[in-house]
Amino acid sequence: MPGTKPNEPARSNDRWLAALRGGAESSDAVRELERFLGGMITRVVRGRLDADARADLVQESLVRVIESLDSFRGDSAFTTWATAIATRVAFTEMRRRHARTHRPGDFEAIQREVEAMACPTTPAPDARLSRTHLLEVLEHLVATRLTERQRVAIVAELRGLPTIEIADQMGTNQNALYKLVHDARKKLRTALLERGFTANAIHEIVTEARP
Amino acid sequence: MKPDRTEMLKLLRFLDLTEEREWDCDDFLAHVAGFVERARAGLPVPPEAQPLLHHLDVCPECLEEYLELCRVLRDEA
Repeated sequence: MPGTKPNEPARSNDRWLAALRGGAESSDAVRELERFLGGMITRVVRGRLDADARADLVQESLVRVIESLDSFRGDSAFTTWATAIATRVAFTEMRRRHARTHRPGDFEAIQREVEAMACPTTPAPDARLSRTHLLEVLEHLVATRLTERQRVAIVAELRGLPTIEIADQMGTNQNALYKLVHDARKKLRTALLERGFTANAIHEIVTEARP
Repeated sequence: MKPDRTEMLKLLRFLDLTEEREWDCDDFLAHVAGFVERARAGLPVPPEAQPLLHHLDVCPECLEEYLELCRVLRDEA
């Protein structure tokens, strides 16, 4: 693993863990970690948030790191792991702010659209399994096989809404949303395979369609 | 307005990449630090990191965070 850099705290992983779990150096370690995270948040945010917002992100990152100590795998420097968490915290907040100011109302529009989505007629079987036919079948499956929550989440993602905005609007979190969409994708993929589209045929159509 | 053809093709691309078991964003976060350090050291991607690479294919937001993490660590070096 890379060694400690001049501007990086000089603690081994074990010392970080012991101190942050309430060992003898506990308060020193918390202060040191707070300073380190302050530097990292400044680098990640790059002037996109003011000092107050950055200070909030440092505190949130600090809490997240300390609460997550048991999930530290020890396969990197402790500070690299803490930086990954701080990056997640900072990007989540920046995405939230961007969604609030740039595209208000998009999610509600998608919800209304999904509620009004008519069920397309079942496409007639087509022995050629062409791209057009595949897309017709997929459209039908989206309308008939998914729950309304899955449809809203899938359409919102396809429209490019940030995951954090979709999760917030649906009253869930990013990870639960990922599972919801993953279940929806598995359901659609299985249904396509049941309709005679092989995994290879799907892959070929996707590859041909690439710009 | 129902999803248009471009959006359905985008969905199809995700279905093409869909696997029965996938890492979610929390799994990704738990493993990304070790992965980045291995990559920076020029070490090969171990088989157990394949789910992380797959997650980068299907989650643009984790990809964005991964690239940012690489940039910050590179600038620190």
